[in-house]
Amino acid sequence: MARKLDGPADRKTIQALYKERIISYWACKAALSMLQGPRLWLRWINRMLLILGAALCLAGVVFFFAFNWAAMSAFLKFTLIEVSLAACLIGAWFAGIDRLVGKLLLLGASVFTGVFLAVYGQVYQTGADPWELFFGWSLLIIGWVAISRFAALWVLWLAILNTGIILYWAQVAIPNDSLDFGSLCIVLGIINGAAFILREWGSGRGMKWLRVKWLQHLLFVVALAFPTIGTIAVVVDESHYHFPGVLVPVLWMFYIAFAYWFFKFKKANLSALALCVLYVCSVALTLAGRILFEISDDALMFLIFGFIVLVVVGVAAWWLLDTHRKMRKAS
Amino acid sequence: MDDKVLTFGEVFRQLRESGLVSESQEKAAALRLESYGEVQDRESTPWYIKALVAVGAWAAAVFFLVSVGMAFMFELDDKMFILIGLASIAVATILRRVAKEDSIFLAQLAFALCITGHGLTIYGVGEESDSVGVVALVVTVLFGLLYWLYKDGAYRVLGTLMVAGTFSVWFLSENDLNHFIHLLILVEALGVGVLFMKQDLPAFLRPLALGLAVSLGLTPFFVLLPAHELVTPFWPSSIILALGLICLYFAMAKREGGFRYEPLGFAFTATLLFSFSTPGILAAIALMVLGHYLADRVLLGLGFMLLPVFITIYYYSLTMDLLTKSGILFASGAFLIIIRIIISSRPWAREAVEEAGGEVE
Repeated sequence: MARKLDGPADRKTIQALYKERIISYWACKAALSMLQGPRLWLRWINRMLLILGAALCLAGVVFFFAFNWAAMSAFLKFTLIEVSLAACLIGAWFAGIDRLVGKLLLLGASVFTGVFLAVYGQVYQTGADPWELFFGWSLLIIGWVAISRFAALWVLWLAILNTGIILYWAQVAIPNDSLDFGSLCIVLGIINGAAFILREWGSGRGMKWLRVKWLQHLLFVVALAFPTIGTIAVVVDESHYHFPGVLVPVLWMFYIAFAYWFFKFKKANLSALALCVLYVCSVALTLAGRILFEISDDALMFLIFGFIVLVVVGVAAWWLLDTHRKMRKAS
Repeated sequence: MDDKVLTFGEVFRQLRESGLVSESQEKAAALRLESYGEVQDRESTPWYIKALVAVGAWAAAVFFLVSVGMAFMFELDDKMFILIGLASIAVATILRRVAKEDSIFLAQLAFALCITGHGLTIYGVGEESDSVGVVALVVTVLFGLLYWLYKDGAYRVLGTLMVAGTFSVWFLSENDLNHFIHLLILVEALGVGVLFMKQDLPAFLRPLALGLAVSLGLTPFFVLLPAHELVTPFWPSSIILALGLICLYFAMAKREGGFRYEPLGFAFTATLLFSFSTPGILAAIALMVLGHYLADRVLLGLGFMLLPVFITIYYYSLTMDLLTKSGILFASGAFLIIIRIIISSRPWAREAVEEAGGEVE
């Protein structure tokens, strides 16, 4: 893409213009200050101090509980947790959930909800399984998550939900033989894929808080990760060759095809396509390795596999570079 | 929450309003911008594509090494491994020089052969000399030669890490040399500061700068090994990095054309306080500050990833009971939040916000 006046300004180009004497030293200085002025430094430092400070305070609270746990009465435990939870909520109310402080306090309240459930289960020995705790936790905080308009809290909520599902599979489904590994990957793939689609829909509808790039990348990575792991498991281990788990490669191929269409033609994003390519290379190389090393596992096979790795990755890199050039020309 | 990204047009409009550029200068800049874009399009390959190629080459090299090891491990002596390794490096260098710019497969093959050659050479030298020091010196000499001959950014970064890594292992493996780890950190810190702050850093030195930045972030892990494994304390590295950070503040303030004593005072005090913690925290902060100043996402990302790791290591390693640790953690967090409130209330902070007409959150 040729640089134009309506393109994003950067330090390097401004400095290059000064070096070629197209603009003066003072113009260069003033331009650099606009791009990296005191306000941006202040904003960055303020955010770092707030996030780090909040994380350290939270860690201090957790360590305090860990130390005093055995000696505390149940009443004291519940009082401390509920007071902290209430303080976070009141603080979020006064700070306002439009501000970062308010959002972080709501995040703190969500974390304390989980702590409360864990302590409740421990004190009253309810016999509840951990997966029930995580599902209950995700259900209880969904209201705050919905109103927070905070990407980090949504990610926490998804992490809790995913953990609940995985624990359910480990503690209930496996002993009852009701859900195999492939099916687990399908379920997690669908849930996280839905989260990704909702994020894209929301950001297209003007929800600015969803437009953070890291959220798009994180959701995309996770959505594709589970079907990829499931597909690799099917390739490697014949014990996964049964319905419905054997369908996970179908889901995986569908996701790859969708991601190719979406990130090449709808919302051009080369880094997302590169992630796709990485997943495809992983599966392709696993398949190639499975075929080769079933024939033999001598030195020649390792040499051949090394060349296959080079060819597969080389083709992938060539395709990405070609796509990169075409995207630049088109924009 | 996100800043609106400034375009060149907006920058030049503000410069024109301030009388710092004329209309003709703006037109000349617009014409020049078009040609910059074309050159940078030809030269720029996204970092993740380079990383994919590098990882692919690494993986292939591992399989090549396993293959050679399986075929010849018990049949060749150590000198033969060195010869085969050097031959592999030579072939890789020639291949790299003759490969065209868009020939990805040849570049990858060359890289894989280069890494395989290094692996075989290091193994052979290590077995022959039985000395980590000799291995470190051989790796350094090889890197020094290949930096000029083997023109590949990924190799230059990895080569820098290899040199730093082998020297770290050497210094840590012999008690008499433990103290030299601080010298290594000094060299890395100096290298990062000088190279990244250089206005016209030549393109061929950028991989070296990046490699030094990564090794600056990783070397403190070695310094933090438990006390019974090292005979050197970690405070010399903390002092080196604290002084390095302070020099960085001065350099940045000078380049921006003004010393504001109070903000600098805050920065110095914070740095001196952090020097009582681990050198890793200071290294991560240095990478983040430099990354933010240069708008370099790689440095920023590296610093972001390493900071929580080193903070965790620091608090975990405190030989105190959980109650005291919880108090220290909470107090540290509260202290940072109080500092934030103080900074926001200072006149120079309010002035900066008013000048820009925005918020600081």
